[in-house]
Amino acid sequence: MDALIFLVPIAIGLGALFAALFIAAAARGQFDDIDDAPQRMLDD
Amino acid sequence: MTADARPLEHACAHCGVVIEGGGSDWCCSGCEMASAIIRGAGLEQYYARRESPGPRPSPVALAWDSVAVEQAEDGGSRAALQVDGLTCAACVWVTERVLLATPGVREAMVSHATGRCRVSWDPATVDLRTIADRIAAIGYRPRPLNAEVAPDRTLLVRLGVAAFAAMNVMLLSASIYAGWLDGMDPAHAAMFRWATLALATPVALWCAEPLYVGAIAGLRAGVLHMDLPVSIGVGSMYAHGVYATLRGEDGWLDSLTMLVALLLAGRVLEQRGRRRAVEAATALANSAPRLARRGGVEIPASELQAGDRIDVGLGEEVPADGVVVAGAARVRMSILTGEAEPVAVAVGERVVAGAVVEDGALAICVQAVGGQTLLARMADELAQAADRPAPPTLTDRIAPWFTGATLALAGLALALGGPERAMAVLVVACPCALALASPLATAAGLGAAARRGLLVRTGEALRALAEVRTVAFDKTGTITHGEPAVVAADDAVLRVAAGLERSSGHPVARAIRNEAIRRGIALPEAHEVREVAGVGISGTVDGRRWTLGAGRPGQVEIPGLGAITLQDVPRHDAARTVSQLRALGYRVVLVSGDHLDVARRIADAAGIEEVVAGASPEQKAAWVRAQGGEVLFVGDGVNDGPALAASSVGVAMGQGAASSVLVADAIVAQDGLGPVVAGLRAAVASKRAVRGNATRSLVYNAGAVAAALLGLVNPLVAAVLMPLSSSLVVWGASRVERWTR
Repeated sequence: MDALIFLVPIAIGLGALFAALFIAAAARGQFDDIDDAPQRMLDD
Repeated sequence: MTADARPLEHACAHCGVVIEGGGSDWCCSGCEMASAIIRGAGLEQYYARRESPGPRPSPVALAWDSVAVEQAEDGGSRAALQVDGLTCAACVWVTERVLLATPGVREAMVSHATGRCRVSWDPATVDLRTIADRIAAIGYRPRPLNAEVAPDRTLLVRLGVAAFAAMNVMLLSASIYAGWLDGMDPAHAAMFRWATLALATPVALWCAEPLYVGAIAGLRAGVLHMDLPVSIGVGSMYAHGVYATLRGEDGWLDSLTMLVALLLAGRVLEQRGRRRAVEAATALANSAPRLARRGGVEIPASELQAGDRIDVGLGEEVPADGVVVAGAARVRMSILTGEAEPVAVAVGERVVAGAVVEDGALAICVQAVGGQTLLARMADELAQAADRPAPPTLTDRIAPWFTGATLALAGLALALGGPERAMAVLVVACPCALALASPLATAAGLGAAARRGLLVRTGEALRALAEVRTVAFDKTGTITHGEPAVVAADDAVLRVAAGLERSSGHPVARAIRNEAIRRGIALPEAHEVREVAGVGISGTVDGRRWTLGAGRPGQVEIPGLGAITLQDVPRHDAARTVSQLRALGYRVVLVSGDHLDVARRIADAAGIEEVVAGASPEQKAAWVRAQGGEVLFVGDGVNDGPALAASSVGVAMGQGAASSVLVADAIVAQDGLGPVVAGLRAAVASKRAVRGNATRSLVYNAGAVAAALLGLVNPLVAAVLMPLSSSLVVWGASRVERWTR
């Protein structure tokens, strides 16, 4: 059970990494227009 | 019609209008040019893939130099345009590719959803006007977009952080709750609690900030907002969480993070629901100054000065206020006065910016330009009149009682079972579901209305829409198209007239062509076509010379052939919309600036019984105020602005004047009036969903508080109950779409 002392922070750290990626994406406008991309896919 | 006497018929290769063969493949030089551009760029596939024939190109005379252009680091320029008339994926595709094939254009991206075009180019090779002209040349209509509103990304980031924290806290808390059964190593338990606190801290202090801001703003304004009990709940949960963690006990931080994440999700949804309407409004409100002709040279209307002499030709819009110094014409001033019938003006008379020359040509001595014109001054007054206080929502009305009851019950719990029990009451009384009830049902209602063509700008407007009892329509441009349509003509005269007017862009020509197309008459070819200002248009059709000119009022005629009667007629779905509104129990009124007999005729055609005629813009607004109750006003021009602002919900027609869109709460984004009915239905459905949701969440809160008072609620029970009650509210909101049908 002592492994938890490492595993829990690692798990949270990994989660935080993805949260940071999401924030970076949102800040760069990735989610500003979410209706356009699915239609653009049909173009080609 | 017999085929033997006439050449073979075929469709115009670009716009699909049926024309008589023998000449070219195209109906007019504009379509031929559009085809040449598209084929020249190697985009022939467009013709196979498009879902409907391409629009007929018409020139746009706008001064693009004044549009905000951004300078990129690499020396390029960048700007955003709004493109109208894009109806299918092939339209978007061809617009992008044609721009990319233009020398000097580096990037071009057109949004399918909004028609927004972002383009970047090399200023040494090409300019924005050339780019806009390329779009116009293939038949789509570019408009400037000066201030692009970036959506509020912070709210989304707050939601991301809160959701991340909520999920991790849930995981940690599940372990802690499992520890209640199996026992847990104190070192582990301490680590889990501290980790929970670490994750919950940014949620309580940063993510939840909009809630606190809302609560404080409410307190300042003397209103107890729903954000207040929520903020009290979140605040006390966090304070208790810090205290409990320091003492090595369990807190309610899992409920806190979940609550904040759910509330933020509701807000993000509501914001998304409003976005399209806000974007549509800003796009319509932006406009570049038109071009004016001074001494034969085109200059932006903004550069005109008082005393300048300018020429305004057939079908053009007068760019400034002034006095006619030469020529004679009939001008349509429907945008200002609401009257569809053109007015004759002669030398010495005044014309105002925004008037459209229907026939003839004028030379004008400029008196007032830009912000000094009557049109601009009216628009300014409107913008000031547009602010109105937001009506309180159902949940806002419950909020004061709710806050009072919660605090009283927490006090009771404190007396009954000490601080732990008071805390439990505060937590389960926190009206998460109730606070979600309104945003979710509002977002669903905004979405349901938008899918049917009514873009509602705010949740307040949607709620006001649900209270409406009277629906008042303006006449010109709202019930009617605001443009003449052919009501009587022989096929023979229509055929020749349509041939003469094949390439012409003014409203009468459009009406004649449309009627010919509707009757299935192939447009003949006309040679040596000449437009003579003030007289009409002449040309050779079938080897004979014809002249089309003004006849008796409301008519154009071809001497020796016959006359065509034109009138402003109701929209195709006006009568159906009115009968639907009446079936739903609304009082329907026609409010017009026109004469009673004209207004009466249109009202009869649309099935409206009550008519208010001859009303000036101010009288329209006064009439709206005099109704006392909740009035929905649908209008299109600047002349409707005061009435739109005075009504409880103002709806502007999307093709109307920019300034009426500025003061409107909602915009009809389709051709027709049907969206008004759909919007009312969606608003009522949304109100019903808010009611249902509020009832369900109040019942839940009452039950949970009773249990908490009895000491039956611990952090685990709260953590299970909260998401359950919230999903009940999500289910309630999901029914709005079905109720709108």
